[in-house]
Amino acid sequence: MGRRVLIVDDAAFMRMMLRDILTKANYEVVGEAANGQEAVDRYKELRPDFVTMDITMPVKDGIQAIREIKQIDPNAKIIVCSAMGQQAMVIEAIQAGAKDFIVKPFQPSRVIEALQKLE
Amino acid sequence: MPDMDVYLTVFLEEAKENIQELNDLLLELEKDKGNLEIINSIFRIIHTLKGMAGTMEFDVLAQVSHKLESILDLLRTNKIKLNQDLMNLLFKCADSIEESLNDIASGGKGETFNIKRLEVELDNYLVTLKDKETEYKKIAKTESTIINGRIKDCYNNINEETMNILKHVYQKAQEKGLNFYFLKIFLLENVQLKQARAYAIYHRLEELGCEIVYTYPSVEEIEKENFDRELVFGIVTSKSIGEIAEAINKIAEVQSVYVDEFSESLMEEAILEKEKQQEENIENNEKEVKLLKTIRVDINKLDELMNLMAELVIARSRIVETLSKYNLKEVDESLSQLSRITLDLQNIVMKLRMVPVSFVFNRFPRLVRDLSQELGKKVNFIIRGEDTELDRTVADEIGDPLVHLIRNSIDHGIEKPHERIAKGKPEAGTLILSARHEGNGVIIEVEDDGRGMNKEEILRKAIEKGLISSSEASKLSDEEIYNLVFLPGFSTKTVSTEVSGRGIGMDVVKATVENLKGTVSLETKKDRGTKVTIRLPLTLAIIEALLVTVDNDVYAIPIANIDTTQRLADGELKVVEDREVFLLRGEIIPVVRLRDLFGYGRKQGLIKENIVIVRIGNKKHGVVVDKLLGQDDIVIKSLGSLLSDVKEFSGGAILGDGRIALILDVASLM
Amino acid sequence: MEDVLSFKILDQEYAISIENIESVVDITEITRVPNARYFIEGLINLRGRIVPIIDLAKILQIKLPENHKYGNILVLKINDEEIGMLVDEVENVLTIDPAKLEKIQSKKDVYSENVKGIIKIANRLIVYIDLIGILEKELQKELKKQ
Repeated sequence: MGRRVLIVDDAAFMRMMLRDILTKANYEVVGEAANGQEAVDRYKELRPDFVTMDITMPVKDGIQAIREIKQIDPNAKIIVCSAMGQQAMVIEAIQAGAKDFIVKPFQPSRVIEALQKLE
Repeated sequence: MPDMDVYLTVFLEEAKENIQELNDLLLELEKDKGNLEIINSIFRIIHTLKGMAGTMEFDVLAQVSHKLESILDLLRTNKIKLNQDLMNLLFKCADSIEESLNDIASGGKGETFNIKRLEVELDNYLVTLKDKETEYKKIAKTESTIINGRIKDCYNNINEETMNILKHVYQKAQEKGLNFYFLKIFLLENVQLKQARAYAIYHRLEELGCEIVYTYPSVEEIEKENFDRELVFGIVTSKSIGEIAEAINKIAEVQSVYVDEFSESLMEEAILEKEKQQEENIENNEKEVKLLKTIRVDINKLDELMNLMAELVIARSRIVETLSKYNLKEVDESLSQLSRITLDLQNIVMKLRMVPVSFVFNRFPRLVRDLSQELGKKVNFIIRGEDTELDRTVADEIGDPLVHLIRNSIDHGIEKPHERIAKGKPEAGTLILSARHEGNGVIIEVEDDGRGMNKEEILRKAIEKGLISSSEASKLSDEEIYNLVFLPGFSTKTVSTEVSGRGIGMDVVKATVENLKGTVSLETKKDRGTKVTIRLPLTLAIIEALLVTVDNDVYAIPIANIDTTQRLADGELKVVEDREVFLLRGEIIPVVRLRDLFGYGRKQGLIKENIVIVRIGNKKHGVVVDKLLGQDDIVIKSLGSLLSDVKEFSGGAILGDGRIALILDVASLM
Repeated sequence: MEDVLSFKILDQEYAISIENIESVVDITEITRVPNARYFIEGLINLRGRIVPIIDLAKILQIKLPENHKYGNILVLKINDEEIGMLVDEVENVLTIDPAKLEKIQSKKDVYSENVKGIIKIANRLIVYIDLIGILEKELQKELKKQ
C-alpha cells in the first residue's frame, strides 16, 4: 500500500488536483482539510506519513498549523504548497518545521519528486 | 506566413545536412569509440539542431535533441563510457530525428511516434545514468582522491581575502577534528521561488549541524535571487560526505549535488588560474554582457525619434527633388544609398516600438479559465503566434476588444458540455487566439467551434431595436446580417448584465479597431463556430494614404478606409431628400463634397467629378475632391490641442515637398 | 521682476511673458484648417513639425487692413505643445515690475479680460497680454459647448 497523505488546502479545486496527482503516483490520500485548524485535528486523528500544506487559509493559516502539528509530532513530514510571491512565507514555514515546499501551479512530476525525496 | 516558409526551407536544408553528417560521424565513432574529437563534433551538431528546432517551435525535436545533448555531454567529459548499447541508441536517434524532419517537410510538427518513444527512452537512460552517477560520486568521494572538474570550479569565485579566511577555517576545523566540505548544488531547470529553495537547503544544512562558512553567490545575492541554478556552500561539519549528499539530494527541485573535501591547493590553483584568465576574458565577457543588455526607454522618446526620423525622410525627399533638376550623375549613387539608409533607419525605429503580442495575450489563459468555470463550460484554449510583434500603442489598445471577443466566444459561442455531446461534438470547446503578420499588418483572430451566430435571432433583434426595417431585412445577404452585430445599439439592451461579463457590444470592438486604423470582420457557421478577424496596421505612425486636393490644399485619405475611386459626370449625381447620391453597382451611395464641408464654395465648369469611395463601418460614402494626386506613405502627426475640436481631421502629415496635408477622418463624415 | 518680449501688431506694441517663447521665425506658408476655431490661421511646417498658428488680432478684435501681411511668427511652447503666433515685428526683451503695471481703462471687454496690464516705459505704452489665460479660456469655451 502507498504512503498515507493528508492534503490541506482551502481550495477544493487544488485539493482535487493534488489528490489526482498523488493517487496516480500510488499515494493514499487519507484525508483532506480546508483550513489550518482542520489540518491539526485531522493530523491527530489520522497520523499520516505526509502532509501537503497550503499557506494562506481561513481560520488558521498553514504556518500556525505547521507549528502545532510539529508540537504534536516533531517527526511530522510536511510539505508546503505555496504560490509565487510567497517567498517570505515559505521561509517562515520552513523555519516553523516544514520539510520542503512545492510551488503552484503544480507540475505533477515535481510534486511526486518532492514527496519521494522525503521518504 | 511567407516569412516562416522561408525559415522552414532553410531549417530543413540545414537540419538534413546535419543529419547526414551525424550519420557519417556515428559510423566513424563506432570504429573508434574513444575518439573525443568525433564525439565533440556530434555534440556540436546536436546542439545546433536543438537550437534550430527550438526556434522553429518543433518542441519534441528540440526536447529530444536536448536530452541527447546531455548524454553526449557526459560522454565527452568522460563521465560515461561509450558501449554498444549507447552506440545503438545514438543510431536510433539519428534515424528518428531524420524521420521527424521528413514529417516536418511534409507539413507536420515532427512529432512522430518514433521520436516520442525515443524521448521516453532517452529520459530513462538519463535517469539510470543519474543514479549511477550519484553512486559513483559517493564512492569516489569517500575515497576522496579523484578530483572532479566540477568541484574545482567551486573555488572560482573566491577572492584573496576570502581565501585567507577559508584557510583559517580549514586549520581550525582540522584542529577540532571536523570536516570542511565544499558543496556544489544544481537546482532543476525553471525552479521557482529560488530564494526559498536556497533557504530550504541552507536550513537543512543547519539542521544537520553544519556550520556554513561560505556561499556563492553571497547571501545577499541569494536573497535577491541573483543566481541561476547553481549554488556553492562551504561547510564545516562532523557528518560524512555521503550523509551530506544524501540529505541535500532529498530536497525537492535539487537536480544534483556534489560534495568534496576542501582542498587548499585546488583553491589556490583556481584563484591563480582565474587571475590569469581574467585579462583574456575581459574582452569576451564584455561582448557577452553587451548582447544581453537591454535598457528601458520612455515611449515618448521613441515618438520623438520617430518624428526626427520623419523629418529625415522629408529632408531626403527634398534633396532628391532639388538635385533631380540638375541631373547630376555623380550624386545618384550617394542619393540611393541615402535613401536605403533612411529606409533601414525608419524600419529600425519602427521595430523599437514593437512588442510581442504575448504582451496582451498573457492574461487571457486565466480569463478563459475563470470564465469557463463560471459558466460551466469546458474550453481548450489555444494561443498561436504570441511572438508576433506589433506597435506598442496598438498593443495597449487591442486588449479590451479581445477580452470582449473571448468573452463572447465562451459565453455565447461555446455550448455547455452536454449540449456539445448531444451535437456529436467533443465535450470541450476549442477557442483559438492567434496572431500573425500578413503584408503590412498584423492579423489577430479569435475562433471558436461553438454554436455560431443565429441569423434569425440577429435579424429579429436588429428589427426590434429599429436598426433596420423588416423590408430591408429581407434584402440582406448572410454576410450583411452577421455584420449587423457591429452596429452601435445592437447589443445595448444587454448592457445591464455586463457586470457578469456578458452581452458585450461588438460596436465597441469595431470602434476601437477602427480607431487603430484597422478593420474587423467575422465568419460564422451554425454549429461550426465563429471566427472574428481583426486586421491591424503594424504601426500607427506611418500609414498609406491617397493624396487629394481641395481648393489647392492637399488632404490625405487613409488607404485603409478607401474602397475605390470614381470619376462621375455631373448627371450621374442625383439629389435625393436634400442629399447627393449616386449608384455604384446597384448600391446607393451618399456623397459629401469636401468643398461644401470646408465652406470653400463649389468649383465651376467641371465636367467630371473625382469621387473617393470610402467605407465607414458597413456603409460606403462618396467623397468629392478636386484632384487625385496619388498614393504615398505618410507619417501621422498630431495637430495639437488647439485643433482637437476639428473632428474632420485625425492629424496632419508633412509631404516630401514640405507642404502639410491634413488627414481626413472619414468616420466624421457620417 | 518679470521678463517679457514685446512685439508689434499694426502700430500697437504688445508683450507676453518670455517663459513660453521658443523662437521667432519668418512668416512662411500657412496651410488652412477648415472648420477650426476663429482665431486659428492654420498650420506651418516648422522644421518637420506641424505647428498651429494663431492670430492674436482676431482674439483682441483688432481690425487689420484687407491686405495686411504679417512679417514674423513667434513660436511658443505651452504645455509641451508648440504654437505659433502671428506678429508684424518683434521688438525687444524688457524686464518689468509686475507691481507697477497700470490697470487698463478700456471699455472693450476683450482687453480687460485678456490683459495683465499696461507697461509704461519711456514713451512706450505696451499691452501686457495673458496669452496662456486666453488660450485656456478658448479651450474652456469649447468644452462648455460640448
